[in-house]
Amino acid sequence: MRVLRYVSKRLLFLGPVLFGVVTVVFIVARMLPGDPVHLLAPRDADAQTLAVIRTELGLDKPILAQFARYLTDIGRGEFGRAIHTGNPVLVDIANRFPATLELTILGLSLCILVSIPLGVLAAVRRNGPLDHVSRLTSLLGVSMPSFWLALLLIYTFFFHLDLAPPPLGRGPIGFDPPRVTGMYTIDTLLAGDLAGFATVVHYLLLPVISLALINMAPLTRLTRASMIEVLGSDYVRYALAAGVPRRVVQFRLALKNALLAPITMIGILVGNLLGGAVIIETIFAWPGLGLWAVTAATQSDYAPVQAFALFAATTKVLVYLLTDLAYFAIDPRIRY
Amino acid sequence: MRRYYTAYLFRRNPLSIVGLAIVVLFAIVAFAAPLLITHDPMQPISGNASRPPSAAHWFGTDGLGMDIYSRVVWAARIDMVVAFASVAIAILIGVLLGALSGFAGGMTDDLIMRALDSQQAFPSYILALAIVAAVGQSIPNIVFVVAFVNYPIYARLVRAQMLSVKESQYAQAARVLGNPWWRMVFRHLVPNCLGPIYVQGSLNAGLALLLAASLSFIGLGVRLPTPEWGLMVSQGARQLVFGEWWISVFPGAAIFLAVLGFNLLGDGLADIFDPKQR
Amino acid sequence: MAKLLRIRDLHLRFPTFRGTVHALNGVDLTLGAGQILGLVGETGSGKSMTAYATVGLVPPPGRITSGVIEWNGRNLLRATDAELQRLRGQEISMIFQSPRTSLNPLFSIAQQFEIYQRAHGQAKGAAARAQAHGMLERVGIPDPRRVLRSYPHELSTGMCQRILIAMALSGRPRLLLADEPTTGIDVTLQAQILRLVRELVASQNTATLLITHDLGVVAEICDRVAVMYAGRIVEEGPVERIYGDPRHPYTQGLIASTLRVDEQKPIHIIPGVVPNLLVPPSACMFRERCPIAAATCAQLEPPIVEVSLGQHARCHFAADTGAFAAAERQRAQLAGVRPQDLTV
Repeated sequence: MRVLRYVSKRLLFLGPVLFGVVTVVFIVARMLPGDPVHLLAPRDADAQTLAVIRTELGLDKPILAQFARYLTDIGRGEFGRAIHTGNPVLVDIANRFPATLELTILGLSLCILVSIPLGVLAAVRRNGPLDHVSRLTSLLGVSMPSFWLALLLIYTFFFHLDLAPPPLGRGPIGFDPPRVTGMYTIDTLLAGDLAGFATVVHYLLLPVISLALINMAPLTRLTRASMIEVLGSDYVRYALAAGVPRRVVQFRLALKNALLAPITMIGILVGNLLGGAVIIETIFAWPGLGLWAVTAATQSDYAPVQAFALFAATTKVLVYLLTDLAYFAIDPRIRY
Repeated sequence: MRRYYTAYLFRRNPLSIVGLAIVVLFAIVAFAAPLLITHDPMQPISGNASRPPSAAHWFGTDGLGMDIYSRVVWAARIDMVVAFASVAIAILIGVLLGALSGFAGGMTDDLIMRALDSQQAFPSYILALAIVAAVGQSIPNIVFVVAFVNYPIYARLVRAQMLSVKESQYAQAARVLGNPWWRMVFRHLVPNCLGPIYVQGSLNAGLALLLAASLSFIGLGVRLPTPEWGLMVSQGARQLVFGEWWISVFPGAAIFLAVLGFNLLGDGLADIFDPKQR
Repeated sequence: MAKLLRIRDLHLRFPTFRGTVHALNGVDLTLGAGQILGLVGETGSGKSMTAYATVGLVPPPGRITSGVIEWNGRNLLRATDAELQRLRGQEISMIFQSPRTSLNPLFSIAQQFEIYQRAHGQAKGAAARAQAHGMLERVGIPDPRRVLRSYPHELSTGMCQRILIAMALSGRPRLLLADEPTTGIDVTLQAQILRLVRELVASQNTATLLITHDLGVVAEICDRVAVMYAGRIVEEGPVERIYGDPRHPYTQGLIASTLRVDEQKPIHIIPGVVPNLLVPPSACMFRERCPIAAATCAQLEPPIVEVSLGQHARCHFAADTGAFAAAERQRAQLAGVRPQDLTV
């Protein structure tokens, strides 16, 4: 099977990259000027506690032994404890990931739903009014700091228009739907709580729109450029000359080719989504992984930061793998 | 040809001139900051907190009573220096590493490329966050971190160019003629790489600025009372919900404008050095 | 003979940021049913643009500024988009050079065939597949079933061109516009492809406009030939007349510059370069490179002269057989070439 061979080949590449990722995190964690114990121990710990921790963590052993121990820890799923929450890192991740996942999935879906049609239509009606508007907004959009954009949205839609709730998390204080998936939209619907669902959507509104807007500019730009290139290709010219209606050429033939590049871009956007979530979660006090990692980072609580970085890199590598598979499914020219 | 760049630039892509003008404007503001400020940018004025824009305080004052206009102007020094310095360092590291990788080939090349792969497996923002959390948040550290997450682009670019020069006919011809091929590498590599590096450098400066400002915004960058645009935006974030818009809006606009300038310039340069792209 | 296609005084402009390119400057062309007309000329002389204009596919920002394109007595320049689209593929088909890029890389041959068939309301489903199979067989593809399942990157260039020809002719068009169909194809394959085109158009009584810069190709399969220069037809007539007795100095130069194995003579080179179409020369476009140019050529548009039955040339001196030979001898003497080396 062609697909199986391709996947196994790609999975083989995965190993070294993930090993590299772990190594990078290990090196970074030991990059700090002082003693790594300070990074992994409570800030007010006395000398004796530090010594205990040092032995406990194997920090008195040679660096390679430390690395080996680090690898086995990761292999056993031991990522340490988040000091600022008091929980084991994995527990926190499991608790908080659904909030991030819900936000990023919705944000990216909205982004794709708007950007791709916009880019395609702008290319089809090149130099038309829609094209000019989309080009101008994507130009401004790529230069917009995401946190500033989110704040402007809050100012407009919360303070002035009162259409959005305050940027204080996933719902009013005390709002806590029965947990099934941890994604409030799904959990409220599962519980049949329509009022709750409306609240959830209301609170999701601005964060999701912010996340979508941030990612929209590059995707629209690329889709437009890709579609324009395809519309100028030989096979489009031939199809038109052969009497295939312009609409069929544009939306059945050319679209498939034109979507190859945006698929790569979507892969990149998804892969980096956790990075963007850090900022949006900080602004909206969204209790997801990003906010958790930032809080830890500002309090010199390094175990969560380490785990978060590992998690983000692993996600990105896996997403790239999925992107390659999508490409493989669409483009018959790719073979391994 | 070089003499006509500006004219050529303007005709092909007038927006790139706007970009250049913005970048130059910010550079001037950074240099002339002491002449342009109206108040001490780091001195809170007591009983003067969170005042809206007025004749005395053009952009208003922040929650600590510091003059926002003077701080926005002064911050240009920090933000522009971070952007320029980090890109310069990224280019330096990238070019050296890329050249080494392409030149040496074999194991060295493999090792360097796998290291780049591993590093780029991290979302750049998260890698920066993790490093800053480890090394501490001084301005030199921020510059270094921003440079560190950006250098792989240059390394890959230079390596690819190096390989193509090595394989090229003129390198082979040079070898036949008894010239060491690496002399040809410097003759051809440098001019071939310059264009793409200008383009990337310009686009990258915008990204670097955004990254540095974002780090400060989440509290992992420059610390108060040093004026920095991202930090200033975050200072105003809590007050924005009460309608005090000016604290965040002016520094945010400064970031937006500066990044826009770098992007427009980069697009224009891309047009010149790679006309096929459009 | 009934005239299928009649192009009159066609002008085409491209506004660019450096100025307006005058791509076509009064093209006149006639094509009868079942005829094969060769359209020759240098790159940029407007051969392809003439074909694109005919089917209403002038690439933007090109614009037809004046002229008439008559198809069966109907002016195509006034036809709507929908009418043109119905015309394309059913009445007028087109094939191009670079056959591999003319096929969409992401669709199998069968899928592409199906899209074209559906566009023309032809057979559907199994019948369509049978028809596609039949067409591929007709263009000499050995294993149509396998080819239909393939993607373009799995097929050779020659195979792709055969497929394109099959698609182009499956609608039984009355006119085939072939834009350098054998450029970039292996020489041994060229002859096969050309023979195939000739047989197919003969069997379907399809008129053909063969665009090429290869005079040998024209000699092989065309009935008539039109020579283009700077967006105009400068000479047109039956192949044997044009090759045997060219009357326009450009045609004469073009024919003299082709290499012939059986003759020992220096290669003729037309002096000068193609005129800049941003500022096309007035009156005769060729006068700056013309060995027999006179004062008149800069002042008056050359008339179209019928020099023999069915042969027209756009030159003040077209009727004067001796002028070119005399000028050529004079030039040769100046260059120190012996007169006996010249055969014109």
